[in-house]
Amino acid sequence: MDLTLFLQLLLPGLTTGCVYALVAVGFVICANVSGVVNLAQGEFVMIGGMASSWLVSAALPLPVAILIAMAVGAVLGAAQEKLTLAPVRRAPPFIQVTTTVGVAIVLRGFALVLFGADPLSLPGFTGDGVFFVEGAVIPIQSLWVWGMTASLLAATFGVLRYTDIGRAVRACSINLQAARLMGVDAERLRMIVFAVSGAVGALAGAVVTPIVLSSWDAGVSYGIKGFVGAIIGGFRSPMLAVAGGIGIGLVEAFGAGYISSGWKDFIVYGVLLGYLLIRGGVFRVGRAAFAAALANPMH
Amino acid sequence: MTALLEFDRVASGYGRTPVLHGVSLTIAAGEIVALIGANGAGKSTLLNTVMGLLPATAGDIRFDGRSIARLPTPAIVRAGLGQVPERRQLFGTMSVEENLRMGAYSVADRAAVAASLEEQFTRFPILRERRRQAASTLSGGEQQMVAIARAMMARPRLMLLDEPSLGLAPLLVEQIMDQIVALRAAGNTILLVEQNARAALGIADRGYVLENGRIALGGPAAELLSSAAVRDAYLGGEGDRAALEERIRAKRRAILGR
Amino acid sequence: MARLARYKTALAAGLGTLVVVAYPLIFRDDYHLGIGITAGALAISTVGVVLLLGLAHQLAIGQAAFSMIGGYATGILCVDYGWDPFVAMIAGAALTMLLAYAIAPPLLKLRGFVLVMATLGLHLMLIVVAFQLPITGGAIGITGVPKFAILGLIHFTGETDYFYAVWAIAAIAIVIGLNIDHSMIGRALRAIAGSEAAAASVAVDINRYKVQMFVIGAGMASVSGSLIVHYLRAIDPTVFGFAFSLNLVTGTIVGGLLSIWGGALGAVIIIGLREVLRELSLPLWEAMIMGGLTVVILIVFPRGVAGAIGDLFDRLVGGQRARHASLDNSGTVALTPFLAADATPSAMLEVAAAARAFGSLRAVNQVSFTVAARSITALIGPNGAGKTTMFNLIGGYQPLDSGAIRLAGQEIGELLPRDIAILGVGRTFQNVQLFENMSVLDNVMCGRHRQFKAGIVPICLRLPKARAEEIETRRQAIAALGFVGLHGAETMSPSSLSFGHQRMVEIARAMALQPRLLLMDEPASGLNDTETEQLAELVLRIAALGVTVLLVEHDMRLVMGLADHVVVMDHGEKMAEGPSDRVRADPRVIEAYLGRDRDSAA
Repeated sequence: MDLTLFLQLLLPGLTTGCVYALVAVGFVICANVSGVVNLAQGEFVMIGGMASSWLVSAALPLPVAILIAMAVGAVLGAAQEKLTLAPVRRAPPFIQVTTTVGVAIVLRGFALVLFGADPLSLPGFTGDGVFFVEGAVIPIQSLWVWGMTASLLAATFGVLRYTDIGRAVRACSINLQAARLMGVDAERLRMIVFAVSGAVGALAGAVVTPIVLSSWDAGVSYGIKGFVGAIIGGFRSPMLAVAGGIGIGLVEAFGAGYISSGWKDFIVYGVLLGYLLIRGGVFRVGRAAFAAALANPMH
Repeated sequence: MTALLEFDRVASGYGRTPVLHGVSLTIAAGEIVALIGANGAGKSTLLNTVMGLLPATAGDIRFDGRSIARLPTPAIVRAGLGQVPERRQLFGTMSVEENLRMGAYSVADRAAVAASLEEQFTRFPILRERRRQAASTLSGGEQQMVAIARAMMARPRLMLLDEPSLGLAPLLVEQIMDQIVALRAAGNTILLVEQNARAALGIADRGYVLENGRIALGGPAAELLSSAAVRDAYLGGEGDRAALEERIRAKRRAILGR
Repeated sequence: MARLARYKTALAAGLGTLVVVAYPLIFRDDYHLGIGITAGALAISTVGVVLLLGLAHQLAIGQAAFSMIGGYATGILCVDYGWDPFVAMIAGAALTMLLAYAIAPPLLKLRGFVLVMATLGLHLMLIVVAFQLPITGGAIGITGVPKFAILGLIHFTGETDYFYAVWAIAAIAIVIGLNIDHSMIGRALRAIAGSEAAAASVAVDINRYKVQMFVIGAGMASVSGSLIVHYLRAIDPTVFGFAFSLNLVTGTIVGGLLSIWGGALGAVIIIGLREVLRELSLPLWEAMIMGGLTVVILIVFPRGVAGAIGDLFDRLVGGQRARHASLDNSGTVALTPFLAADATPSAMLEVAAAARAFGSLRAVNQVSFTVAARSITALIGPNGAGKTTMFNLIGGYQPLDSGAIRLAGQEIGELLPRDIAILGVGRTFQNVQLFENMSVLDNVMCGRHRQFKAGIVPICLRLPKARAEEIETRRQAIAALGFVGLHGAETMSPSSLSFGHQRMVEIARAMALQPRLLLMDEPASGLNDTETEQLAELVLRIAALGVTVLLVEHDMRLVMGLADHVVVMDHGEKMAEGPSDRVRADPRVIEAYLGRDRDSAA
């Protein structure tokens, strides 16, 4: 087997997989805390990449640009929760889902108007050089992506496991009413989770832009691929979501390299569809939905 | 009697379903008050209304003289109320210790939390043994202990217990009742909501009977325990209740002929 | 259909026709006619979106995929094979609907947010196919598509002719949409949206209607795609891209997703907005504005522009009448008996060793009892006894682990709620599951669902058979309302009724089903003494018609006064049964309710 080709596909696949993994974790945590799947998740990655590129081209130093982009992500995330999700909390689920789609459209449109239709780029954080692994050419920026992803994931799991607020987030996912009885301010917690999710997404976008460029419509791709990762984790387990996100990044890379780059998206979305149709399981509406409707008058 | 908690003609319900209609009762510091009644009478609704999970649509609730009816739940917890929910509602996948720490969420002082944790392990030694185990792996009786300990972590001034005997074997029910008595001995005030009237009235100072969202009876626990009125509240048959039942029977004879 | 609604529809149709006819007379140039044509084609698609999203509450973002299939079918068949455009359009629609029918059942079982991503994934997959396959012309696509024509007889050479043709087809789509909306299927879909559990209890086949709307929507999208391609004279993979799908959804929502007219209005709004922005040299703002409007409308006024116009009309024209209808307090009306006097067996319901566990908790443990036909039986027990689970087992809302349940001798243990409803079992819910999104009369008409025989095609075309059944359904529903004493409440909305009256409407709905067994889940819950007495009388009159009644109840006055037979459960097991007085005096029952004395022996 051609090791060089294999590595040339594996390592960049790992890189994009890292971004998908972060989106997937964002999906899962936000969904567990707020009860709604935020279909605008991928747009935060796009906004992070676009905003930091634009700020750098306006002569801001790179670290400042990235911090501002993260702040923008945080504010947008919190605003989305407070302004668009909190008001429809009691509305039927399809209205909640559609609202998140609406927000995604607004973010796309906003990026289009503000940043224009052309793709933007960032210089690599430590230059645009490359390094070699057994003949495969890998951008040095990849190390930033891997490193940042690993740190963010470690921080996320650490916070969830060892801090009071992380415990509260987990408690809300398990039993919201009991968590409330302990004095957890669920509304405030939701806003915080969405803000962090927005900031992390933005950071991921900024770090990966030197490699893959960023454009106003890139959010959909990140969103749907991150979604695959979250689905494979059953939307409950952040760890499996990470595995799923990285997995789909690898599938995409190997599909493009070994089968056909033109059919790459077909393969990736085919995996999603196939998984859903075969292992629908938890995501099917069935008797469980009836039981839930009849049981608890206080949802 | 200085009231620690006072219900003043409280009404509440879920959405369009009204459940409580003008409930009034008082609880004094240091006593165990039992609230009994048939299922569907509104007992859990009452507790949820106190804790702010359900808004009161009419009336007022006063804790230590201060109105808490419109406060959000976190504020009510900080004011000193704690609840052991119906069917315990533990965080099953979290460890015993994590469950207890969640109970102390509203307590900012880390030293106080550590002290409280130690207190609970002393009160329930078996929990110290199982502190790292996932809460869902414990037996029913042990889970009930975790639930009580969790509620005690924030050292509430008033503890609300929602049907602690539910789903427990008779021997365990006795144990739980003993623990509740011990809590009172340690200076706590308790509102004990129960369907198991005899067990609850057996340890309480005073009791109220809730029927169809209204207080039907109230008085010293010993009196209620021995009165036939309590039995009728559950199974009907005497007094005003009998009148409605008689009218229905009469209609039945008229319409169905049997 | 109520008179007010008829006026509204006539007015909308009249105005719409006026605008469409006048448009080419005002804007004669090709550019503006082109905009009008695009709006018309889009309007066909949006009707499909309203049916699927607005009525069936299924957010499927891939609508444009079907337009793409229709467009490519037209392109390939007309250019490569020289087919007649009309035939090609029909063929494309047929192919699309077949495809939709094939993928719908597994797809529509997916929950909301998952369905969005799955259909999006499908759309993106098809775009890749369009880029890659030689037959579709790859990235360049297909050019030289002829203008639209019908069977070589009618040619639409001028833009004005084509404009009228497109809007004529749009009108047909709107009429079909309206026919569905105002029919039993429309009610069934709104019922599903209102309460799936209650919809199943009146025998609505939830999956079948979702699939039907999906397929019809696909067909309309396909036709829309074909017509657009005939206008553009070409097609390539970017024409029906992701942005197109998003536009359909946002446009429909802004226009008003709960109204068929909302769809067409939405199409006009999108195209209009696009033109305005082009005039202002701000074309890029379209996405953000549409997205923003969508979010605002969903939060603040979900019924959209069409809903707002409709409300305005109501207030101006029908103000006094519709909302403040008063209830006729002249008492109740007798219902014609619908059960044959001698046809029922002695045992209506047999529960044999039923068992259901949740993990280690045995909610129902080997419970057996019989409900005699034409009797009133009560199932009682303390909290946690398992009565609700037992009730849900009977109704099909929970599966049996072991044991059997038989309805008049027929095994029903494996059946789903809808199938059990078809067998003649009606049900009321503890927390009153009325369909909030329709009038009281519509709610009760839903109860007649299982008797309604006309299928989707007669409904779409409003054939006489469908119309006759609709009239009969209405008549029966009014009779049921009179039976429970709510004559006059027909046009009221459920939320404006008192809780006690809502309970009555729910019973009327169950009675419209003409059940032989009526399951009532805590019917006295939330009622005061007077209402409880009225309820008791109603239950007795129901029993007098020969309906078997099984109720779960806590209010002992009701139970002891009404029931012929009482079954007591505790800790998942049956602990006693018999006539009410015997059960009340049974010491074990008393102990189960009041608990054991602390000092008594274990």
